[in-house]
Amino acid sequence: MMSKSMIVHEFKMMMKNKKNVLFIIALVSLILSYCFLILPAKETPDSFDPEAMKTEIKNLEAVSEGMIARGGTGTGGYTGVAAYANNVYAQKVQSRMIKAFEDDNLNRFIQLRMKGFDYDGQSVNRDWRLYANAPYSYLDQSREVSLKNLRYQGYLNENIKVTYKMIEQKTALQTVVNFLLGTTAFMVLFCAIYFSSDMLSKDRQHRTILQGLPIGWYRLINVKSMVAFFYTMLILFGLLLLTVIIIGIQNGFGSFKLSVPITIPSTQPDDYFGYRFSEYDTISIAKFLLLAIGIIPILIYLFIRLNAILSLIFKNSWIVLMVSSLLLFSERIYYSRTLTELFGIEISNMPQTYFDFGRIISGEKYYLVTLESITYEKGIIVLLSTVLVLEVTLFVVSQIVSKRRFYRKAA
Amino acid sequence: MLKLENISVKYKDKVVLDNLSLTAKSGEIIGLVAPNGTGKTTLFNVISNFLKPNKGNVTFNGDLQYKTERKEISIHKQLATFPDQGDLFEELTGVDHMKLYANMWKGTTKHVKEIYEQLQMEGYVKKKVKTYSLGMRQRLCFAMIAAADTPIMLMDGVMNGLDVANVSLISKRLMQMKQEGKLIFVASHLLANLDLYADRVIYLKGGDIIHQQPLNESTDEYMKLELTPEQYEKLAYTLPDDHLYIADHLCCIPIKNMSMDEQKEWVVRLSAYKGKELTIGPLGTVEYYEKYYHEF
Amino acid sequence: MFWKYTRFETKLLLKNRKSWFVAVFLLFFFMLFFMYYSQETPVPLDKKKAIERDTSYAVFEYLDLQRHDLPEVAEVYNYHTQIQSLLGMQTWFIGNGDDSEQYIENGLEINSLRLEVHELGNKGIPEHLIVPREEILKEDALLHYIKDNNLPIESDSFATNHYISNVLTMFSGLLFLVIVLISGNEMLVYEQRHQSVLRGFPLSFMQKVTSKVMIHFVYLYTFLLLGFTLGSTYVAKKFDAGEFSFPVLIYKNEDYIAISTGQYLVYIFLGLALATILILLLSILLNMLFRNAFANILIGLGIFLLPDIAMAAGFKATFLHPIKYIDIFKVLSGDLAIELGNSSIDYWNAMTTLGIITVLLIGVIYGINKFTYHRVPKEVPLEKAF
Repeated sequence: MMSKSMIVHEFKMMMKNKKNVLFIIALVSLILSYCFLILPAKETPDSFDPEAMKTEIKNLEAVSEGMIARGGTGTGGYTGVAAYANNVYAQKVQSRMIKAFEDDNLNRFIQLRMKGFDYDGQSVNRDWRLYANAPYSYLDQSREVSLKNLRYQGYLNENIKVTYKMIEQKTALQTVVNFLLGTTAFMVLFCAIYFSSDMLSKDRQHRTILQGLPIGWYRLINVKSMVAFFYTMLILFGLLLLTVIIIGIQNGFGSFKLSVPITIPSTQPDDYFGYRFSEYDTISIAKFLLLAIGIIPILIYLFIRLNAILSLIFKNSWIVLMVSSLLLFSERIYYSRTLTELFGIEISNMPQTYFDFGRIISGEKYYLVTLESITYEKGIIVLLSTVLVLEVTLFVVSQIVSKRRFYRKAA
Repeated sequence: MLKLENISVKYKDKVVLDNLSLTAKSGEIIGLVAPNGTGKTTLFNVISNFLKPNKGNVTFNGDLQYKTERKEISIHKQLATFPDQGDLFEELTGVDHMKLYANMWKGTTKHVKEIYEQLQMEGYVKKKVKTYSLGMRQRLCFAMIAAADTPIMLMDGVMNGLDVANVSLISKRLMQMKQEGKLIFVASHLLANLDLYADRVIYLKGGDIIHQQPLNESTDEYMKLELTPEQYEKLAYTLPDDHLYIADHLCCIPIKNMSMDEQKEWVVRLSAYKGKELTIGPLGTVEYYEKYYHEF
Repeated sequence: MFWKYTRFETKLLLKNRKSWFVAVFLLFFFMLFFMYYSQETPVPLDKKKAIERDTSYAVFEYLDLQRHDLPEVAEVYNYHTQIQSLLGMQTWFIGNGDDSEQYIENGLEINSLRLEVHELGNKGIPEHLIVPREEILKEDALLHYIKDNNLPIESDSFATNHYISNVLTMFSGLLFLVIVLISGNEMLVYEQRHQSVLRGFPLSFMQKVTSKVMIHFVYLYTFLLLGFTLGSTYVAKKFDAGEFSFPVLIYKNEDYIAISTGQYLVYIFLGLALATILILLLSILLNMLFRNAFANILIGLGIFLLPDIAMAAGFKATFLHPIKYIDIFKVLSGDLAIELGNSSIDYWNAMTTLGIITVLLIGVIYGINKFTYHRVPKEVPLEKAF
């Protein structure tokens, strides 16, 4: 019963905490400015500019006329490439693409686009720091194309009403999925860190009121962690709702049946090509989100407990915030496309590899460092083990840094 | 030295100070007495310009007012306020705090040692504040304002939480400061204690001063006896016209116009009431307090 | 009075755990970065040239598609053959041919040819194979400098410069802003927690502000310098090179010039000093307005991100550009000019603008403080904040 009133008190304190309110306001402003200012004008790699394509057709016409004029309509001597035939074909495909687009026959448009004659597309929005210095950079490009085609295929397979916004990946669901797939997903974990960074330290300002409360120290920490956990989940859910509603109204909700392309290790036996390669497949958005919901709470809980340990040691919320953030991004310090071991341990056995959870679900993390042992299932196991280690550590630390020691005042 | 004219502090739903005026000179200790929440702290805040009143002026030395920052600084050079012990810096020592105040106002720290020796603080003054008890912190706060050594001092609750010995130490020091010509305001609930060193006591009620009691002029003596209202009713018609019945329990009979015989007569008559104290002496702050605030 | 107050503030700063954490971070950041970065070996110049030559050769594939039919492309093709042969010569001179003078001469000629091709609009060359104009100008300035100062084309000191520019890319800008904001976030707000002790000092508000900014600046800048020196000493020892006369390219007046590393570092650190003071003053102002340490950081970061958001939304808000000048490294290298599409952004303009903004901030702080003395209470009495 006493725990219950403690829970209520903690929750109230968290909601009124100015630092939390300010952060939420900042996040809401970011979301609003993204939805209303940035998203409408944004050019995605899937955007289509019919005018640019028309210009390109003109260029191709000029070149093909030139070829006809000098009689070069056969195959090239050295390369065996039928340049003229390709040229004419490209013109046909492109002009039909334009017509399909303008007629709003998007299914046909997608099929045509998958033929690969759309040169003007922007490069895909990826985190270049992660992709740099690849041993075989051509693989990256071919993978991009494969993933894109799989996604497009997904638009065609299900009974979904395809809209242009959907192709551009601007619908509510797609925006959320893309948010979770990339580096932006770290924001989710940062929220957990931020909200819980002062959950213990703030009480030090009110020593005479709180130190004497008849509740065990370890129990108190657990109560606070629990409150922080539910608070974080609540706020994240609220922000998610806000985003989905606003973008849903603007660009449509999207469909749960859409495909999220994933990269998985080859299912063929080892001697198929003589080396291991990746295959590409899709999962539905529904499945993706479910997998995300499976891993996110574990990560949030992990960081909250970590913050508890750090709070006991450092007793200063700023230090806790900074150290936790450093740990969140620790992978970036040593990351490279070829690094698969750290201090002799494979990185698939280390928790920080899985902080980048979107990439774990989509298999991109496995692909980037080419380590097949990085899978979602392993991630869950590693993270749960880490949580276990943290729990034991927290228990020990909370015995050493007792309530009395914690409240001894310092700067 | 200090003049307050028509000070009013009003909030939307509450009037705290209403047209209050006051004059004070150096070499005075003025006690400020009122129940909680009647504006003592507000008055102090107005005097030091931490709160700007809706109306009214605070004037120092005849011509200095809080109109610009520079003037405010000139005034603050002569004025120090008593800090709250909860605001002390836990990681610093008592001496650090005293030196801070000494440096900021006096410019030198030579006198700091003498102060903490007189206040019997040598045992702990060099340790960090986080190790102090409440009494030690209060004493430190007083030592700080003593180290500032300004001509005007505002002390709000200086005796809070102090034991009898410490109260006595501080009272002694206050009297010493008065000899040095300081003007000191002391807001206190230790009413009898004020009688020891205050020159006059001001009673606040309803946002204004309702009574000022000079304490060192020769004051009238009274015979004071505790009576229940019923006993008083029975006795009332025999009492002289200028008697007082304070707070439904203290009957005071002035003796200044009585002859020796009349006094003796009254002593005998009043001694009949057994079990109660009969005292002869002037009315003190306690009695006045009860007189004015009894409704609370 | 002022100096005694400053001494007291210094004492408080020393006792604050947060300041120690920031100090340690600044001290070791550079060295750790260099240690990590030194795991990668920089690419030697001859290999770079070989790659350049091969990439340039790929352009012919594209030119061939159109040069027979489009005359502009034919012209470009002509120039490109010359460029390609010069590139080939360069790889020889840097390898067995061992003639740095010729190398430089060829390099200069390549640059002028490439500029000609730019004049022709790069017709026929695909986007990803065009050498940007800025690169050409940079290479030009570099070669000129090497020629004028008789420096060897390749040296380990280039590697040191490389390290320095890498660490500054990472540090200057967002990370730097966050560190200064975090250290200064409570400068005034702290006083609220010890109000009755600190109120009433006979010290003017501007004096207090000066004292606080001064202390924080000294502490931050000292550890920054120490950390950087520590890191550079480490790098210099590792490569046995410490020459500070080697050229670094900076952007000035819509062109690139090369200056010695020593001079470059002076510019950078002057810029960082000014930026530090500006951000500290901004922290004071935000403290005055919002009275909350977290608000300081969030709003400070928000302001820094405003130009990015505006750009992404398609607004051409040039008045927001000066906010980005805080990233002094980007300004100096000319990258900011490219990013914002405003070619007049160079070091000298940026420093002047930052200076003006600093003075403005001081003015606003002064003004707000003055205003509190002249306000007349109407409905409610006014409380003094700081």
